[in-house]
Amino acid sequence: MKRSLRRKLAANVRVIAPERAMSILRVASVLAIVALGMMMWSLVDPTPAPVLLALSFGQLLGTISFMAFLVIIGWDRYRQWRARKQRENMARRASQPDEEEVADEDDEEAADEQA
Amino acid sequence: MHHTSPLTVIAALLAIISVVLLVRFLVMRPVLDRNTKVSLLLGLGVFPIGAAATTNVEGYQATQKRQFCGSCHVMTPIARDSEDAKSAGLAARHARNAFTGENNCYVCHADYGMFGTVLTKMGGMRHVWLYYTEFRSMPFEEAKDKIHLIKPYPNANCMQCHSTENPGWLAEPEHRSSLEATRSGTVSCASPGCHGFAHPNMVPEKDRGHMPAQLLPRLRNDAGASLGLVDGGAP
Repeated sequence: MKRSLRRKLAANVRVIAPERAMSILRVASVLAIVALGMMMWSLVDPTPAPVLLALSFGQLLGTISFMAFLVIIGWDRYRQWRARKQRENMARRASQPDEEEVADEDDEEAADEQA
Repeated sequence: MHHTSPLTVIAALLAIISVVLLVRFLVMRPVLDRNTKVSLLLGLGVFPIGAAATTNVEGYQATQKRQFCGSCHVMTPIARDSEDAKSAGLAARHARNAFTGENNCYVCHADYGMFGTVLTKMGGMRHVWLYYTEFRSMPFEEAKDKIHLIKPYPNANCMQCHSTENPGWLAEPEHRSSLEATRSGTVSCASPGCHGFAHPNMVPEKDRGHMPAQLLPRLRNDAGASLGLVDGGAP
């Protein structure tokens, strides 16, 4: 993945906070319920208006709600992956000796050899 | 009696399950853990897609039914005439045929070309548009003089069932004499001199004088009777 794209994704991850993600999912749920209601209306009353509404707006709202769900789940997965990577990096850094400490140890060894 | 198809039941069940899952999510406000994600996948994805697919099929089939066409007030008298067991109009005679039955509007008016289904549906959308923009508030008596077919009714539609090849059909002298004209579409099967108007209550004022004789059920000739053809059959 290109660095610029990665940076953009990282920036967007910060924008979508978990609470905002939950709000989007709640809106998606309401849209899906409305879409399902249209579909049920067309089954109960198969006349032009309900059938056309179900086959157009019903489909559109249902698709939008499902796409919103997929996007939120995708972001959530990315957030988890990013957090895990950060933890792994921190753990790796913690396990590696500090460069200054390594340099000091080298100096001490050299001084001992000279003595 | 309204018949509930299995697809309707399946669509309703899927929709109900989806709504229950979604309402539960909205009311309980759970955290976005694995269970919530699976529940939302079912509630926003799997079950609604199933419900939409079955509703699409049901909706498509509903648009082919006479009940659907007759639900606009300018079409209601035509649909009612089709359902009238005493009507001798072509549409009514075809409605009594089990093959066309309750789909007789669609079977006779569908486009049977290569992209026939799409073109028929586009034509239907045009009808809906015209209804809501022009005819919605217009009384039937006024509308029936303005409603007309966008192009002459093609004999090719009749010939989807009536092949013009059957011996019973060819035994009719009038069929034989106008065979080429019928096949090429220069003489309409539904013209006043032949099988009469399809929808008697849509006959224009100027043609009313001819109506009773045209709408009388035509007597079968011997060849047709010997083949056991009944009214609405497809020789």
